[in-house]
Amino acid sequence: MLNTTQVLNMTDSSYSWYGLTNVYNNMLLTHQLYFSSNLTEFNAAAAQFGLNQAELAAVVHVFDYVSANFLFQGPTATYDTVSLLLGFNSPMFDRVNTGTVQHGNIYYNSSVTPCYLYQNNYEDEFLHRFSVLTGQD
Amino acid sequence: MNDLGMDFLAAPELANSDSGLVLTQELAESLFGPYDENSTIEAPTLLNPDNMYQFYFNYNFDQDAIVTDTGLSLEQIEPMHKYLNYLGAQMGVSVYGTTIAKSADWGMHLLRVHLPLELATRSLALFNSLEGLDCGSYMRVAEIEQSSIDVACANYNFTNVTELKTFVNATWYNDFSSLEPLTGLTTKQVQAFYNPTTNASFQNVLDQIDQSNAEFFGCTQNTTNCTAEELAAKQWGSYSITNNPHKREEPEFYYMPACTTLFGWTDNFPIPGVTEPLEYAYYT
Repeated sequence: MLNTTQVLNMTDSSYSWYGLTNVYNNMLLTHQLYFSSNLTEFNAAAAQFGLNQAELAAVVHVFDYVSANFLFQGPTATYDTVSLLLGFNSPMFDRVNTGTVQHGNIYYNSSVTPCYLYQNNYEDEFLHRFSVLTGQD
Repeated sequence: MNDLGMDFLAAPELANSDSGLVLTQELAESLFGPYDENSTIEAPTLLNPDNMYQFYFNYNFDQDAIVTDTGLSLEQIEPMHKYLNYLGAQMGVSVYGTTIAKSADWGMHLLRVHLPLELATRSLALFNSLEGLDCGSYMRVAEIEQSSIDVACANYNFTNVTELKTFVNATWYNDFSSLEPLTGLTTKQVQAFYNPTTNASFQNVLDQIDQSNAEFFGCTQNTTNCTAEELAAKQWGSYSITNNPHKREEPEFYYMPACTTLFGWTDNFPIPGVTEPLEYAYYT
């Protein structure tokens, strides 16, 4: 649970205060959490939000569920055929691609755009609930 | 890659990548030169996502084509592949980071738009239900003649959230004139209907309900009428609006059942655009 002040700080779009509606901040934090041993900015962001390192890691983990079940409408979502063929280039993903490519949108074109997959694996609670295939996969 | 915002988390120096890739300055400038999506010249730069895609495709099926397209030697292809994988490991971060940002942004956006209007309208519908007030009640307070009331209220039940929302909408969007063609009321009659200084007028009651909610939910940004931002923050982080009813009994539950998501309020009266739980707290 997050209190009102934490939410207002977290949902700020400012780069300077680690707001999570700033795409760069999210990339930085998830990169440090999952791919790096350098957690300098991650820990600074946690302090900014009034959390410790483990608590912010839990927040990021919860966003797996938020992204999969809210943003991408979960395992019961129905997809147009075009959505399955073109990934993010479809009406389904309008809620993701709201702005320019330079500001964090994923769609570039139908050849090189990452493809979203929903994973529904209840046996492994640590498995991310969604995964992303990029052009290199 | 830079245009996609994907590569800035990995140190791009070849030495850091441990790929063994060595390039001449001329080839490095060619393959990692700026990409201009508006240019008509097909530069071989790998910062063009199409060129990157072709490299990966041809890596598996036609490495001679890579030599032709990029100027790399066959011996340099494998180190380049390792180097690009080193950079490309960040692609998932880009997508993941974007989905987090969009989840928070879109969820909060929907709450800012819908929650204040839903809370006010449902509270007013509940009040009308408890007090036995209907559309005509408020019209009579505004001293509108009965013949106009009969026409204006014909299609509006003030204990029905969806129908009542038409009248609350006008205050939310400050668009009173749109009611005139819907109700047949004149501008003067609409102004009287929304006159906040008339005791028990529609606007007067709505203001009291907004104040009551602001006190009940402890809003601090505006103590007489919660701001959309504060209501959304309270709901998104701890569902403290929908899960915190004034009374845990009927008929309040008909309008605002205690639940952990705004989506839970849609059983009896749908909310356009709210088709699944959207709060962070719901998923904790």
